Amino acid sequence: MKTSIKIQLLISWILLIGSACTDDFERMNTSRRLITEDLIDVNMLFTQVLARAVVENGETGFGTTGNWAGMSVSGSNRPFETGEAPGVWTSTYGNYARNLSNIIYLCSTRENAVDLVNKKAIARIMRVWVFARCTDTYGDIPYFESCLPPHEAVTTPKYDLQKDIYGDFFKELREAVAEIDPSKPSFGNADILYKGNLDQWKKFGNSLRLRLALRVRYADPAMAGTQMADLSETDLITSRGDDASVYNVTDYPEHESSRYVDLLARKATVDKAPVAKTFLDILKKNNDPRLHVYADTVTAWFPQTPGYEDIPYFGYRGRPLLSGDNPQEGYAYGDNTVSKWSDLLWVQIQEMPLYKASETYFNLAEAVLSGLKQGDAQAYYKKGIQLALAHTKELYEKAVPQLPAVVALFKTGKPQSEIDTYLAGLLAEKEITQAQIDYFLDHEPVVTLTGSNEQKLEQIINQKIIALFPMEHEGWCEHRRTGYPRILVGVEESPLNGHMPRRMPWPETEQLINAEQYQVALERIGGTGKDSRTTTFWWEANPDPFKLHPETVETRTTPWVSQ
Amino acid sequence: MKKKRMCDAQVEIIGSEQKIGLKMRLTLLLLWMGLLNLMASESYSQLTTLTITLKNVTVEHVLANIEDNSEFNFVYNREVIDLDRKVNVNYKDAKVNDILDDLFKNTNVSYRLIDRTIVLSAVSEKVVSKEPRTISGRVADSSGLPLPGVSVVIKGTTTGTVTDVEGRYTLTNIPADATLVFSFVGMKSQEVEVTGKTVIHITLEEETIDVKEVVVTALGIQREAKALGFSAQRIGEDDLSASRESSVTNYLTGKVAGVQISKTAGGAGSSTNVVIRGKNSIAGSNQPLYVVDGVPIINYSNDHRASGVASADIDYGDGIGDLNPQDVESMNVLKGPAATALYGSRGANGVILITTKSGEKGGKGLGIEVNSGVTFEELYLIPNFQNQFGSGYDDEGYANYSWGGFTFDGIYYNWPENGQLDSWGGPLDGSIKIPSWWTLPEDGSVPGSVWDCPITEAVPYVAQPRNNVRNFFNTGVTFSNNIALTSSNEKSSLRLSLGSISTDGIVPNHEIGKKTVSISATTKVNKILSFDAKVNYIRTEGDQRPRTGYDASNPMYNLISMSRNTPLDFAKYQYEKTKVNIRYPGINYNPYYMVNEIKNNDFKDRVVGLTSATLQFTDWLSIMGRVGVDFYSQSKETRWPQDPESRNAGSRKGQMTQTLDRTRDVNADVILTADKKISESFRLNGVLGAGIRSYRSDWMSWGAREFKAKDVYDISNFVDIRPDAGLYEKEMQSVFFTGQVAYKDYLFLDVTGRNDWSSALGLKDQSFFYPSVSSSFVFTEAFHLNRDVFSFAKIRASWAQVGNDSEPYLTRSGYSLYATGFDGLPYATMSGTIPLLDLKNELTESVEFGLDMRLFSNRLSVDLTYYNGKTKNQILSLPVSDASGYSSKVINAGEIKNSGIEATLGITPIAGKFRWSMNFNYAANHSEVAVLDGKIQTYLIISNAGEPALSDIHAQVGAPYGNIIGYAYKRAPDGQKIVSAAGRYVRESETSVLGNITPDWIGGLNNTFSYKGLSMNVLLDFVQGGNMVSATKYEMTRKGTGAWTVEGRRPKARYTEGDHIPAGAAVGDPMPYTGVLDGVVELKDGSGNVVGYEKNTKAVPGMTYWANRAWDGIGEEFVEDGSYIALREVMLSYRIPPSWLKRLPVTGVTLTAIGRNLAYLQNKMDYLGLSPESAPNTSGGASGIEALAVPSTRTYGFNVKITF
Repeated sequence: MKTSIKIQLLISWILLIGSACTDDFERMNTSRRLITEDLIDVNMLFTQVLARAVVENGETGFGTTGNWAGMSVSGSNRPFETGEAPGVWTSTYGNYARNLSNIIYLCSTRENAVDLVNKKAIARIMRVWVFARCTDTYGDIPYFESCLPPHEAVTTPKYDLQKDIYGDFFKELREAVAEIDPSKPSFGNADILYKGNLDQWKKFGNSLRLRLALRVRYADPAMAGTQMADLSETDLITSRGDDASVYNVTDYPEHESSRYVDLLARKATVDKAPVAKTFLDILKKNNDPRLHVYADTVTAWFPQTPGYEDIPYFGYRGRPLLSGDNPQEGYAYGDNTVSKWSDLLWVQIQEMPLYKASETYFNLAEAVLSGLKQGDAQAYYKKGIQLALAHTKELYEKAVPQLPAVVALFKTGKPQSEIDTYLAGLLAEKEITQAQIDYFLDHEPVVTLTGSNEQKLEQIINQKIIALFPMEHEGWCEHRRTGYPRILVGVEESPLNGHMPRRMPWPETEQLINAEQYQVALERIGGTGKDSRTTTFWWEANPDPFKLHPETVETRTTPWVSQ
Repeated sequence: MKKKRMCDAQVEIIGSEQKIGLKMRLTLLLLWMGLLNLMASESYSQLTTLTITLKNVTVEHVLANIEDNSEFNFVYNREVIDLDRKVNVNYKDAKVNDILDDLFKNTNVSYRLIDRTIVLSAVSEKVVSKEPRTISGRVADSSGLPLPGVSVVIKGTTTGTVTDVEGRYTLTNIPADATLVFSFVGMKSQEVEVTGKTVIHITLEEETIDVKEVVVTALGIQREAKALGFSAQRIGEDDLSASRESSVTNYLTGKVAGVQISKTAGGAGSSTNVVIRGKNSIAGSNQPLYVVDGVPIINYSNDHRASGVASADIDYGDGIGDLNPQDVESMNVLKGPAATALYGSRGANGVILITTKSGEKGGKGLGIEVNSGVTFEELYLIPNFQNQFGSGYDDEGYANYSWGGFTFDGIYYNWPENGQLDSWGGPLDGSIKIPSWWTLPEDGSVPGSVWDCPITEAVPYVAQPRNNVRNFFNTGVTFSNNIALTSSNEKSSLRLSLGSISTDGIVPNHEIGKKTVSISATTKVNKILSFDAKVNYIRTEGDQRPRTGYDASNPMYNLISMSRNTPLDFAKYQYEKTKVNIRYPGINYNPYYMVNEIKNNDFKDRVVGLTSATLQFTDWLSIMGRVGVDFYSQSKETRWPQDPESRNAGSRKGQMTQTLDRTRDVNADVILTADKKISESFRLNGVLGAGIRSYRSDWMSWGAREFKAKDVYDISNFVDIRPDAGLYEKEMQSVFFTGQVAYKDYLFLDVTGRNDWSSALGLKDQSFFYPSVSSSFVFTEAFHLNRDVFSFAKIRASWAQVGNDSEPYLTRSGYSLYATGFDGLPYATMSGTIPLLDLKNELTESVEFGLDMRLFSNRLSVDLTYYNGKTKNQILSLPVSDASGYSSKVINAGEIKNSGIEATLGITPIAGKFRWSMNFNYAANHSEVAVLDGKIQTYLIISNAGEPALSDIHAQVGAPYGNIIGYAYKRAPDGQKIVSAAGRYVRESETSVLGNITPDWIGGLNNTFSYKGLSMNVLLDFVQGGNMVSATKYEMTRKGTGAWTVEGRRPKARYTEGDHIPAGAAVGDPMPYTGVLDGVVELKDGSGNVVGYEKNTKAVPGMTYWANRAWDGIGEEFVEDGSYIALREVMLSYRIPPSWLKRLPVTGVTLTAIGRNLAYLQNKMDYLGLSPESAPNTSGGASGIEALAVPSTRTYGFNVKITF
């Protein structure tokens, strides 16, 4: 029938136009924004990781970890709470290690892999730095199964033993330094640390190996010794010019000094953090000229409230951790009775270090002291102090031209004359001269190692803490490894009962989404309750880790009275 | 006899066919007079009785007798009325009607009572001529009671009237061949041909379900309601016309069983959250598909921004909110998969079908409808503030002492601490003074910061007026105007509608404007071909939409955290004087500065158009082709002036963001329909179709910072420009069919199928088939049950599968660039998502059973539905262990089950003159997350800003969707809260389930009362069960500004003269703290084991008593019961009887007064001063979050609707 033929045609036509023409679907479902594996330039990944790790998330010395390094004191007792602190975990896995591993993967699998050997080696060195921070924070962590390419990704990676991870660090650092080939290209300007300088990367790789070797020396002296055996002074970062550090830039606020950005926002109301008693006392007791560079004196006064009297001057007074800053304890270390970090630390452009030459010498001094290496511990020690002082002098000099801007912000609303007077006074007060340095080096007893090996070690670490500033993570490692510097902890109620955190609990998300492996790792460190801040891990093997502070924290039951 | 002569003259004029105009005028005059005296006349004719006994007299004699014995007089044309006929009359106390009825029985004479005038006319004369005449009559219901308000219309026109109190009507000038249509809500319409009659009495029957009741189903296919094998609920024009809501979805609130509708936090013009039968998708959208006149439209919204309380977003409204409610004729809610199966991979969350108005066919000429309304939005709930304690931290009225103070006249005054001051200070009783920050430079210069403001005096430490925050807000006003013109003839119809809605929100400067132009045209070219076209143009414009979320850029954030001694008036004064932001202590962001200077505006031009052509080949076969285009172009801009004090680091030197978004969704389909009765018993109906959808969204944006020249907002004037752009494309192709077999009009079986090919899915998984089977059995028809009892009854059953398609771009991995870099070097990162090459869609499968019964002539109706469904292959971006090096992995796993019952009960307790009908709907949905990926037990839906006290929302295996996970109070075995040695509450070390966001049941109760032209609607909306995380409670507990934080605070800091001072204390000594938390202290042995508990006795400062709950992250404190019963709407409308309007060129006037969101009859968050309806966005988990919403409001409105 005619009609039925028409209908059949119609149906066929509908089916025809309806039948899927899906050839274009794959292109359509590829986001225009997506850069595919064959197109990505590894330099962009590398810059991003370095800039974030060193500058944007760089250490200030004022952070939470700074408390545990004896450097600074936070306003709250958050550093002593029990909760997780997933920051290092997230940045390590969520960015640094992911991208560095991928650079290594791309540089090994691309057709021109042979030309990418240096980029690969540099990424391997940085990857060790990144993972070391992570394992030093949490102990056992996923490492060997982590950051594999997408098609091989292990979504529930197992936790590796810290010992095994350190073993791999040393292997990686050796291999990476060894494979650097001066005839092949490097990262060039994309490398914001060394501008692609291969020699400097070698030195950084070696110095990192020295740092990490020392870190495991109580846990595995043999491993430490092996790693140090082939490192000579010339392989290491021994001069200011080779320091691994980056200066702030001003293109985006996140690349400026974070303290300066805060100051811009809050001006005179900015919270200036107090200097920790530990850090301040090391300088103060040794008449160290660096004291006035870092810390301010405090002229305290109390308002004319019944029961409270004026106290004119505290001089340099550091604040113990968890010390009284509340009315119930009479403000024993109230905000206006302790020294704050000086204005020099609020300038816009500052140095963000990963490794400074002074550390090499403190490391060598300790290596000699502990018998892991031959050499002159005293000479190394003094060289370390010398470099550190020079560094502080440079800090002052770099800050001077930037100070007027900072002072103007601190003194917002004040007459220009007052600002000028204050600035002049500040420059005079904070100046550190070569004469002061020389005098210190020549006359202060602390420059000479004395006493037992343990006493010498305390001297070394105390000086090292000052030199490491603002590298708070390193400071925390030193304290956990050696018990030095001695840190005074106060009496305020704290879930850790005033103990210094030894590690961070693994992130809570791990218990939920990597439950099986988390459980295995937890059992290995002692089961329920052991995933806490007070559990120690493998390299924390010092036979006497808790060194008492000779003083006690002052408490007050009555308000200050005039003297 | 003078009287009679005059009457004669009038009658002659009426009879004169040459003087139509005059005649009409006179008729109008008479009618008008009659109307004015309607009540009186009725009562006179009703009350007056006559006693007449006359034998063998003429009719004229009888009439004269009546005139003499009453106030009645007669008007008639002597030439056409036989007055000489001899009659006998014998009446005692009879009414004039009865006498006249008898007198003119079996004659050609009819009479009409107008006031006291009785007009006699001859019927025969009019029958002969085709001239228009007057028709009157009575309308009653089946019990004989008169029916007022029945509309009587000449078929095919708008000419008509409504019956009066007595059920009577009169229509003049009716063509002799006209047909009258009598219709009344709840009654069957009747049509009567006039054919010469002048009196037409009608009995209307109660409406049993109309066999031909037609429902629009998927793809715009019209189906008989009784044939449906699934539940579909319709909201008609009556529900839509009057209640002034700017978004059509809000009309559904409380009216449709199983549909939960809630507004979001952004106030006027923000999105509406619509969830049908529970949430089916864990991570994807749970909003329904909106289909307008058969074509899906875009309902963009901030749906997928599952950012919880932290989202400092601006809600730009949703796509459906653009539609002009005045253009909507009806909405149909297709709830279950069987109803939506034909929408395939877009149907999983239900479909809301919207039919827009078009000109009615049938040649009624020009019709005009004008709607004008105004609504006022008045502040209802605002957070409850305490007014007793001021800023500071130690109960003494000062902060700590690091900021010292000032000496005035030799007296030293402390000043409060810097920054955002908390309200844990002393009592605001004026007993002390503090240095006043609240000044401006004396020389009138603009201060750069608070440091430029002199501190010259001390002011009493007192509270600000309780209403200070309330005064910050305005009364919102919305004006809406709409004019619709319709014109039609036999073949074509046209409708043009112009609408305008402008709203001033309650937040200062918040304005929304919407203008719509809607054109609809249909034409039937010949018997075969017809065309249809509809175009909607919508322009929306928003200014200063409030920022929402727990963020300093939300004005609410600053208002609720501001200390209670902070003078908000000063903030206003300071802003108005200086126009700059100054961060005074206690004022984080001056809210006046914020709403005036930090700007946002947006413009959107949108065109929703559709054309279709239908070829009707035979009476049973047709084909339709249809193309719908939804296109919009939206630009958004935010401006931050140069503000050195800004909390937003990027804006200190000036900032601007601009976004341009062009989105286009094209849906085209071709549908072949066959409908044929193949035997007496069987009827077959089939549809075969194919369609294509092409979606493309293309956006560009830039963030620009740092002015070159101050406050010039042009991209070229910025130093730091960060551009971004994106493209989002998706295509879907489909074929589909439906087939229905009907047996004897009582048994129906439907089968549908659709196959979709989607570009967003994995290459191997692009094709998906969605089948459905449904059946309906009308047993009232099958068994011929007693209609008076069982008016209508059917059972229905269905099974179906539908899908929820994926977002694009989940199948490939790669790298992305950042807009920023380092010192000129670009940044890139590897994607943290592990893609899924073989991505499938989400698949919902459901069975549904239902019963639909109407009893006792529809006085009682019951509709019951049970459904049971599950959605598998959930597309989850599953978080994986960070340690893998990735953050998430796209998986197709997980299953959510939703089952539930829905019941709708309709009762008409009173029918008649006064009518009361009630409609109650109830829906209880039980959702359960059955499986995630088999390994994990919990999936984070919304993370709340990393504030430990603000719990997260998770989907957890075995629990309903939306568990609230956070830290509970640590409790002793007997349930008492544990207090630490320092006297503060302690939280558990591990998180636990603190509640669930899903309500136990939802419902609505709608009452309609009507009396004559007056009707009243009262709508209650129920949501019972379900918890919310309250960010406002958190913030106000943290800051000490909440009214609830007064308990436990020390009323005075120190003893003063005259106090009762205990032994050992003296004037000036601190008073002891009074707040002792209710709970127990753990007793421990030497090794730290808990060996017992004792009652806590330690007194602590108010700050420890309250703020520590927030500071210590005790999430339980901030989880609230979100149950409520809202008096959602009271609407009073009056339809002016058309007869009153005869002199005017209008046919209808309806006046409406409406109040919406009037009160909560139950609100568990009332003590906080919060509304439970304040979710930050429409994403799945957000309904469990209260995030510093714009305060809730009551709306009062007035509307006039005029038809011509």
